[in-house]
Amino acid sequence: MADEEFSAFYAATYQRLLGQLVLLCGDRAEAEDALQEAFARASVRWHRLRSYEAPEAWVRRVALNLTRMAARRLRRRTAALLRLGSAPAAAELSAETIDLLIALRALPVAQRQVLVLHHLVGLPVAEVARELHLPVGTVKTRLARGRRALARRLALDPEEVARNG
Amino acid sequence: MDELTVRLQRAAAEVAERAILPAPDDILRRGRRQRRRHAAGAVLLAMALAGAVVTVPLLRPWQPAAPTGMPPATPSTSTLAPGHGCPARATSAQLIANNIAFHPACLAAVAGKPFTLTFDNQDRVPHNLAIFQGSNAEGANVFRGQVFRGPRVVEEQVPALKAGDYFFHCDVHPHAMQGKLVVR
Repeated sequence: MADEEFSAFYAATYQRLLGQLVLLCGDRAEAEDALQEAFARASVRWHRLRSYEAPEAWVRRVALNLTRMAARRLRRRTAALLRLGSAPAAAELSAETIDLLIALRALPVAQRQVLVLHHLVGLPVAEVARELHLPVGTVKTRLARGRRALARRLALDPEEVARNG
Repeated sequence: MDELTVRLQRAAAEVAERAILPAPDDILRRGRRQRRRHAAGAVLLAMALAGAVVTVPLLRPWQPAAPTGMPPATPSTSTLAPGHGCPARATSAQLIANNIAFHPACLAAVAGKPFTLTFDNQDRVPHNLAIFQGSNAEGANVFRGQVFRGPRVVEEQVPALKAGDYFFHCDVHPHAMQGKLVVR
């Protein structure tokens, strides 16, 4: 019964979370790996998580932490990929999406996180601050800088982006 | 809604649409494997704290279930000490990558002899095999195979290894794809 309930939760949230995670870490394989690990951890804690108001947020937080840890291994992995010139897993995506992923990847992780959590996940600034254990002012600064940098890289109108931020 | 938000949402939606949902059973199995490993670690810690003499064979063998449809390992020559959770004899050195997991997750090989590992990547994503001394990727790297996209089979030439326990993973999916290699 609990397994069925977990499976339903997993099926309903996996793809959405993967979309968010890929934008957060800029790499689909990395995001898939972290997300599946996070769901595996959630599965063994499901009896507790099921009573949470937002178990999806728990999975996202765990996956986010795992991608941070994975970043430490990035150099080793990149070396392996470069040596053989393997194509990234994102090759099937549209050019527009790949362009956005490349632009996001060029930003510092700290800016990427606040941009995705605020603009994509839709968390208010105060909620982003709570999630990342940061002061609200820091989140606002990172958002403004991240928006400017991303607009520049995507050749969007920086003034319009700043106005709507 | 500003253009930046629209682009982020469109990109996330595209990634989500193209995502292949791994079977829930795979995730549940992975969770159970973790729980077993943690339980084994807790037993070891408790026994160490109690001052008991702890030996590896006392631990619950780490042997994740292989999925159906996978070819069985062909026995070879060298015999291993029982109770470590890996095959009792050196395997045929065939490793399958399927659905972002290694099958089998435990291999055995003969010490001091180079061997050929047939690596069958059945996924349409890149994988490779990296082998480390010890029980995790912090150990010395003794072999690193090429990263390649499946479906494709590559014969990896693994150099002679000293007797001992080794850890292997895929550099592209280091959390999901892990295994153990016992060399005796």
